[in-house]
Amino acid sequence: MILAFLGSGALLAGLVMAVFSVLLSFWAGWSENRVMIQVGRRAFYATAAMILFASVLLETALLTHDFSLAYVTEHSDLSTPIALVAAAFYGGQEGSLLYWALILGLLGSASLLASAKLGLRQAAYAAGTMAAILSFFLVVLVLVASPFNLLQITPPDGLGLNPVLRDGGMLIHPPVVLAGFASFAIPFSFAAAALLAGRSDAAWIAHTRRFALVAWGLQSTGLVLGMWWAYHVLGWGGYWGWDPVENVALMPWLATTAYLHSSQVQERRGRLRGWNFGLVILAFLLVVFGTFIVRSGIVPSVHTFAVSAIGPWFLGFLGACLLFSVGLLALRAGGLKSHGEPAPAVSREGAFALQNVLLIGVVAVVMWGTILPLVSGMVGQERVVGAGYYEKAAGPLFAAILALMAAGPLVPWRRAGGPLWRSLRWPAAAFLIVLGVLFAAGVRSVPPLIGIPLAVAVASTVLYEYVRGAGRWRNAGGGRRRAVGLLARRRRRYGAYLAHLGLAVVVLGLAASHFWQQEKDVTLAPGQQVSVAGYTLTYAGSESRELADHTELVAAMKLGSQTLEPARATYAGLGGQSLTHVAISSSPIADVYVVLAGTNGDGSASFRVFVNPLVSWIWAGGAIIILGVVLGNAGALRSAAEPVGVRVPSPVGAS
Amino acid sequence: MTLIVATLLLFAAGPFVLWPLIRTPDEATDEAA
Amino acid sequence: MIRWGVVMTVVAACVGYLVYSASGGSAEYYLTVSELRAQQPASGVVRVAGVVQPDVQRTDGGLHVRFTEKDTTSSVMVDYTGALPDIFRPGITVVAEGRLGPDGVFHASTLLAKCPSRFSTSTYTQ
Repeated sequence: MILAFLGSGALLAGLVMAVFSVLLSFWAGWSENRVMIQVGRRAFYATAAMILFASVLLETALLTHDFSLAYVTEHSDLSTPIALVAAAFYGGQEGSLLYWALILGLLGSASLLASAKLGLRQAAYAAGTMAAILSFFLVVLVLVASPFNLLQITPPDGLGLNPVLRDGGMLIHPPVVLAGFASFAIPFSFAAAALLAGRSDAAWIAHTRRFALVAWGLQSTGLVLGMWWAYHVLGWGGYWGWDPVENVALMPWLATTAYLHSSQVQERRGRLRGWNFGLVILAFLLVVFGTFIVRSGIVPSVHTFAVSAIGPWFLGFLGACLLFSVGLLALRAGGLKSHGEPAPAVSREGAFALQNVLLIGVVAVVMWGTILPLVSGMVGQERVVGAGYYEKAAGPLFAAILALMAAGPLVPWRRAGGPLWRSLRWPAAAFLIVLGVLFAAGVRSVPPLIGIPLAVAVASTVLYEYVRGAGRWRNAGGGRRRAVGLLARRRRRYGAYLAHLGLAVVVLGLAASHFWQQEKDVTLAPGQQVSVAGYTLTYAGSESRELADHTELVAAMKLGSQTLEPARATYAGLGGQSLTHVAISSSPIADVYVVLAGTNGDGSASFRVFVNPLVSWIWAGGAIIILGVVLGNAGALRSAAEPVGVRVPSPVGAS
Repeated sequence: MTLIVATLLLFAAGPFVLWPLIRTPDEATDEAA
Repeated sequence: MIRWGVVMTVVAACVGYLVYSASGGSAEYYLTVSELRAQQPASGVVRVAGVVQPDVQRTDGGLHVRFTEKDTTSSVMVDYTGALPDIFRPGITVVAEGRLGPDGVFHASTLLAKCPSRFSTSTYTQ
């Protein structure tokens, strides 16, 4: 009970402090009052501290099973394992909002600390913008969806966590995805600050880009973890359903992927400035749109939170952000004109620009599929699209992007010449060879015939670049300073190439497991066998096991020397709901995935068996992507050094 | 009760937030306006 | 030098065409049970949302199920073969994707379930 009062007090104090930070930061930034800017920034840090305090209180309430709090009662009970009780912090509507605010407060504070050497005015406006976003979340937390609401009577036990969520994936996936969403607010705030101040220099752009990369990395991890969790826990043999909740996590990721490439054009050549601002802002608007969709229940989805009064608030916030962004871009459009002449089409700049346009095309396709139920419901009969729509509409765009990935790293800046066509023969050869092999093996379906050779071509380009780089490294010679400079510039590039390789691996995993998945429904008596795609499973009988909070019906399926144990878990306290525990035998070649549908009176059991080729490549590829990003950029948060040889406008007003 | 807690927390945070104002009069000559 | 306005327009047109042609084949109507009963769509795959009633009959080790789906006014019998969503039991909302057969029974190829609202995150099961 005490925790609830302290917690709601902390949230209220945080709200007051956040509003104070907004007002002061914007005023002080406008009047360039150095002292007041610092006060405004400290107010932001204090807000973050209040939110952290409130978070600690909520977590404490959960871990001590304080059922006087409605939130604790609704999302945990005495029998829930302690790790999942802790995870309930971000599992419910109110707690996840607090978690969002926590991440924004902490990451935002870090970004402000790291920006200490950058433009005074921009830093103030950035603090003000982030504080404004934080204020919105705090208003919702204080007025509409408080995690600290008390129950009239304290019940002896809680309602418990939904059994489907009682899994390790619950511990990792939601916090990473939520953190990813929240982190897009930071590059947005810095971009908005630069636009408001009417000024941006190379160091500021680099700072914005760094935090966009952090957001991209978090979101990539969150997306892959979500796919992994869906695959391992939910028992339908797949990992992506094009559900609105998944789509809204994907769209800001796509926009930021575009930005990470086009921002290089800005770094090197000072062009595409307006476009880059637009991308960063679009990413955040997509995030706000996403939170609205997910939390309002307005579009049919299987992932929705409990429908609550929160929807209209997020719609209002979305409207406000849209107005603010459009107004800002319109007002400042004049100052964003690029210097220097545009590059010819066949150049690295051209490749990035085309890639950007294609990625935005994919965003449009996904957006349309997501809002179709809304739009169609308003003008007539509600319609929804299935996975087929996304594959048919976005597939060709993805193929074009893959082709660009295979060619792009080989295309020089400014102007392509003879050497380009010579180096392109490597990915072209890889493409043709793999295409030939697939065709000879009998593959006739177009999507894998295009997608798989393209992914291999991307990988071959990465390997080619690494080999070429190794050669240049050996020949570089020169002094130590020059070598260090080369390495610093190279590290980002080769880290990015490693991420490209990771993406190619993911694409191969997606293509194989999607197009060549095999599935069989079968009922077996003990001792009987079933064969799927060359794998033979023998049903060896089933038994019932009693565990702490549930009963498990476990079937034994022999696969070679392994025994798989698909099971069904029944949780008595929750209306006898029964869950699937999938049994998976993984290898680099394929996964054998077995679901126990149930047992029959005559001792037989029914199964659904999948064979998913190359599925583990998806998870491995995801890890490679993150490795590439980390290796290429770790420690870069400290250094404000720009790559050698770039024309840098002189920084103005560094404090 | 919530209001009391909030007010206390704000007062506690006050010195930290307003520190630049408290500090500045001592170092007015060094800081550029 | 390419005019980027032209490129953007071309790509936008391509995207528009892709969206249009992909929607035509894959968009389905999303109906409540009453709407399904009222409309009697001639053919075509639709999705129907309703609440599972207590008359669930399972056979074949849980791979085949027949149940009634209901909204406030109408009900329809649903026939589905396949692994059931974990959440599936009387009282939950399901979305069945399939066709209404001439026998008045809705033959579902896919079953999606939504969690009761008191729980936080729902999950996607098929």
